[in-house]
Amino acid sequence: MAYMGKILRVNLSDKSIKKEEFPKELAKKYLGGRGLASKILFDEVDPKVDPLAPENKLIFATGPLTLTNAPTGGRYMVITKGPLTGGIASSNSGGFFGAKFKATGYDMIIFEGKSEKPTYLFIDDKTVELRDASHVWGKGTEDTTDILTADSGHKRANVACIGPAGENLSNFAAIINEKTRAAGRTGVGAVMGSKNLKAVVVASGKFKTPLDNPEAFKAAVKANNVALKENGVTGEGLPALGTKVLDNIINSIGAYPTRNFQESQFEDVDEVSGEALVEKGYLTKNVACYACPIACGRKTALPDGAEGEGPEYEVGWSYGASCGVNDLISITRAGFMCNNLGFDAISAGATIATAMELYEKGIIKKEELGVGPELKFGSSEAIIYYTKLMANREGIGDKMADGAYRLAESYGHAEYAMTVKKQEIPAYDPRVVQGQGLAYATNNRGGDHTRAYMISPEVLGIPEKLDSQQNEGKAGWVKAFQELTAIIDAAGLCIFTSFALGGPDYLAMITNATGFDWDEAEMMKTGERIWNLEREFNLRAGIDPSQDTLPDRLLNEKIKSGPGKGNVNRLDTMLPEYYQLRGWDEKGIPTDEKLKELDII
Amino acid sequence: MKLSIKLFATIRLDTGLKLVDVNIDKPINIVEMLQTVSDIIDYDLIDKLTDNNTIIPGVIILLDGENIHHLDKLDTLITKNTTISIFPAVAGG
Ligand code: SF4
Repeated sequence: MAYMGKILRVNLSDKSIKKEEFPKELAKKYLGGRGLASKILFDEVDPKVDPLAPENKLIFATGPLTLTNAPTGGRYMVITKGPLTGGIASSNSGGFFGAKFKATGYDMIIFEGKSEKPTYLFIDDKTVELRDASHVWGKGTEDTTDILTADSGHKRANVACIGPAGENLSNFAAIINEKTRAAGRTGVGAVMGSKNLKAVVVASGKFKTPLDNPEAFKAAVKANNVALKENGVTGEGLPALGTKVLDNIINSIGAYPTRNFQESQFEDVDEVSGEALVEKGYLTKNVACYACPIACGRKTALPDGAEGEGPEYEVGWSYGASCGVNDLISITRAGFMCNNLGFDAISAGATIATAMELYEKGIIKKEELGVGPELKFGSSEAIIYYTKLMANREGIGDKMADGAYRLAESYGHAEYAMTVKKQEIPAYDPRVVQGQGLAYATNNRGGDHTRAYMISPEVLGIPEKLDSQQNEGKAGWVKAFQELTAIIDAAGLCIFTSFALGGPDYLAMITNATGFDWDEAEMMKTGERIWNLEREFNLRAGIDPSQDTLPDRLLNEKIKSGPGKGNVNRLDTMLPEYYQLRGWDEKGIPTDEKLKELDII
Repeated sequence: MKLSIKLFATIRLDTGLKLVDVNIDKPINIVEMLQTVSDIIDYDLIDKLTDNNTIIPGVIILLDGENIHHLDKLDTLITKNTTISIFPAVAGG
């Protein structure tokens, strides 16, 4: 139950499309979405494969709660081997695409091979076919979406596509659905580009998700919706200010990385914060994804009439404080550009920040910039100019499109890349928020905050307030968060629900939808299984545990001023405990015993 | 003693106020400080930030960047010139 029971296997090389039985037994072990798709990748793809080679596979996956009225029940995930980290790539997106795709009667699409010419997949109730995409190749995601929607003959078609960044194989290219929602991180858009696959278009679907116990499911959803409404974060803060409410909070505690993590407070935060976005009148309204009572999305309009969504906290930071830019209009515009060009805006802004530091230190020379503006911190001109250059891989944009790590490494100065496993770290300084540092270092998809959002307990005090400067006990928290997040991703929900919901709340929805005979321990075990499977894929791909670390700056350079003055991240005091709690050996390798216990081998 | 109280998020949007300066002549605790500010701005901060004399989960009150959770919570005494940042329960990124 809760599954459509069918998956699509599309071979882009020979253009064959197969409808296969959904692997029900595996779903009991991996739930769906991120979990099940990772298992399929693990079983079918050699972890050593070149991420951009035809032998890699690209999986679009929904979860059992996608296309239900569970709060935020509309997400999908894209799983593949990614070019940025060289490990498992796994990216979650909202909007409506996931639910609409599932309504065509399938749980998942597995793309294999490589198309000779640009192509896209068209799906409706009756038809699944590959169509020519040469007329939209080279176009941004906005035009692509409009043209393919018109071509489909369905005004309300949903399009997930890549832009020039994906076509040009930028290591941090995203897949964008409905023009503004991104399966953003880990370069899934580059894999799509390498397959010459421009888009997936879902025209119409009439199926509904079958539920095991509709009455009990409805009751669980109702109770959870009440909890979300009554919670200060999900019922009030996120709807009013979106994620950008965080700017001032994180800056006030001195954990707001500024100028490529050289400082930890931004003097102009008041110019660029979520409050400023409202006060300056750029915010027009808040918008929600499918079945979402929270509605954290921002519709924005700039004084010159440009319209779009965002910036979210992360994008506002990556192009703002991280680049030392205090011009909210340019930051918002850069965010719009990332959506249209098909970039992960965290990595894009953070890569420019790294380039700025390299330039200011004299490592990137002026001659290399050609006619471009100087790569100086604070330059709003530069953030716009180099974003475009990266998408087209022109001039120095070619090197930058490979990401901050490879850019800095090409000059022999990898130490200026603020990355974990070659992915750019987001907007929280782990020298102040210690557990978040452990979460970055151990994340299966590299520098990223969404696999264990330790900011919640360490800064916001949800579900309880931990001292962000303490190291003790953080390993257990990180492990638990990693496992619960894996479940939320696999179920097809948005992690923002976790501000108000806990294990039993998710369990009630999952069991009543699927009919699985799970208790909370079994559910968390499933999360642990997903985590270990991803880890095992990465190890086999050649990402050894020495990469469970943070940039030298965050481990050894003390914060110069502000509330976090004098701090570094003390990863070495947390990592051994983390390995031990995970049941891995002291080197960070999952033991055979653990893998057997979890039924992975 | 001079207290600079910075208001954020929905409190700022509701009241239109960013900053309130207060002068005090003797040390006061957090609840007294909140009461003083509430009276000045005509907005009930005690109700917004506390429940039964405890801090509502997600609420953040910082004294010079340090969270009162790790000081004496609502009983924390303010004894010197301080910048106080107040956030209602709000966020996620
Ligand atoms: S909380 Fe925000 S991102 Fe999550 S489903 Fe709702 S609107 Fe979408």
